[in-house]
Amino acid sequence: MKKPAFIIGWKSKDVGGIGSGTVDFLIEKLGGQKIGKVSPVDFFSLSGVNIEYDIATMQECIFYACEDRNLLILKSDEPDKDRFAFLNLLLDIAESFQTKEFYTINGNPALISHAQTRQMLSVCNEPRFMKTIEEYGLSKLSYEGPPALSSFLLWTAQRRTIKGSSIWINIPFYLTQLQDFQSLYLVLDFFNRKYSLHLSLDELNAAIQNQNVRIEKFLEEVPEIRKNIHLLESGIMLDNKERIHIMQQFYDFFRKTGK
Amino acid sequence: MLFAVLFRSNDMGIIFLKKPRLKNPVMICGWPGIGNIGFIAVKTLKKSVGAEKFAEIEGCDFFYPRKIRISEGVLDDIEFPTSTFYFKKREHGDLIIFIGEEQPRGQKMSYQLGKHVLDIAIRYRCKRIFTSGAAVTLIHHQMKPRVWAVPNRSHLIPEIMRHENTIFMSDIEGHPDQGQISGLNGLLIGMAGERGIEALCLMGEFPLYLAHETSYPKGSQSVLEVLSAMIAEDLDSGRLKRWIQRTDAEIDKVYQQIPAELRQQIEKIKLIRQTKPSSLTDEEKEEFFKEVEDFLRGNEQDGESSI
Repeated sequence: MKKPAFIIGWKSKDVGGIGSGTVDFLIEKLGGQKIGKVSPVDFFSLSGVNIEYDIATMQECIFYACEDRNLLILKSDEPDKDRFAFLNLLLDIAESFQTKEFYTINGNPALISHAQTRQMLSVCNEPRFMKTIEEYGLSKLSYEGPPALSSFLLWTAQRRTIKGSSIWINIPFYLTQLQDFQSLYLVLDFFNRKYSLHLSLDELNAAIQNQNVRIEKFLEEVPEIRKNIHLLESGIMLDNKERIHIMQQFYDFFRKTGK
Repeated sequence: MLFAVLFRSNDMGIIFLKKPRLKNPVMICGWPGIGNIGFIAVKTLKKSVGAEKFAEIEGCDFFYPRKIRISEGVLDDIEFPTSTFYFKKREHGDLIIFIGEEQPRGQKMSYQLGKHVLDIAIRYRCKRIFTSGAAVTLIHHQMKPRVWAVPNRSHLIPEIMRHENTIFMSDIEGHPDQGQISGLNGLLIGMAGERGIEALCLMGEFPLYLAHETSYPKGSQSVLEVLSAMIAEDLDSGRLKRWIQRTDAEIDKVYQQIPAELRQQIEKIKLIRQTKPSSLTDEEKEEFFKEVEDFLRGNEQDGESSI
């Protein structure tokens, strides 16, 4: 590959399944080949195994290459220890491929309904790069508070003059534990345009339609939640208890009927 | 900051803002811990002597950042817990004060950070290092906390014994001659010994029935009394005394709310210190611990905070 773009999807704390959904789709559709992995011993807690959605899952950090489209892809859990060393290791690997820029894909739980537009925001570690990204319809993010690993990576890369962006997409709060196909479409559409990937997103369009039909069916069964979602759409905030109740109901319904 | 860049020393992971010339300094280190006893003591000392910042350990190697600022889509700034060195020049021997805002997670990281602190101690030929922490023990909060002292050289014991209100682990009933000081306050004195520097840890007593997160300036005050005598420094601790009054009042308020029977048990702790240790039998002690434990567990279940 010649100066590939580097796309990172975090498996842990993956709001709306956006990080892993993006890299899984790219790897599958672009025929990504596994090229290496970071040994878990130094960075992950190996005192046992994690259980995610009732499934025992080993922590992993795997690199893939999509040579045809000049993409380097990482699918990884967030490390439990020595995070700075871990981030530097990822950047060492990126540098060894002479990566020109990198992206992390992240979801942000938002008080919006599934029928509302998802806002896609970006933060870059270099102002000119943000300008380029803005041309693709992403908004500028402003924030002050505790950082996510993606932000720590941006800062670490900035020290090494490696250009990067964290993409943050707003996910309806009740879809945070599920795959939000609408958001996934938007992220993949961005990469499609930015890197001329010529990916067909028809499959995703079908998944969005299907998800909306299923949500509609669910809301028919539970009118009380439909009412709350209408309130949300008209700008009325729900209290914490109501939000948790809706999330739980959605999760249970989709788990029973398949995510 | 241009100055910082000029003096940045990559091999040490330390950024120098100044390079003061110091004469026979002693180093005093403090990190947060139980009751923040050592941390408060060292911060009070730093403020009282008016010490000046001269170096800091780069946080990114040891800590996860605590805050980030992003403006208009561009990463602006990131903040890590600080690990800062201060100095104070004095006629009778200079001081280096180290304050770490957080202890690293994991033994490897703690060891690495300790090495950085000792690199500075060696660079400035520190003759002695003090660390400070808490000794969680059977002490009543209305009593004056003693200071447990643990040196890394036996010749320091007679010197410590000359100071009032100090105690050694072997003096404590039920304690064998062996124990452990957890965290960097302990590790550093061990590491200092390995590198040929004499060091001691001063631990203020902390009542075992208080939540470990409770700041306990009374313990810090006891530590400061011993520390200031050992480094020959008169401290202005007026602010600390006012803080102690406030904390005592808050603890007393909660103390009055606990069941009378339990309070009676806790009151017995006073006897342990005022008379011989044997005044509380093993059965009474066991009963006391059980009642405290039951009480605290009951509070947890009620969703209230424990004292």
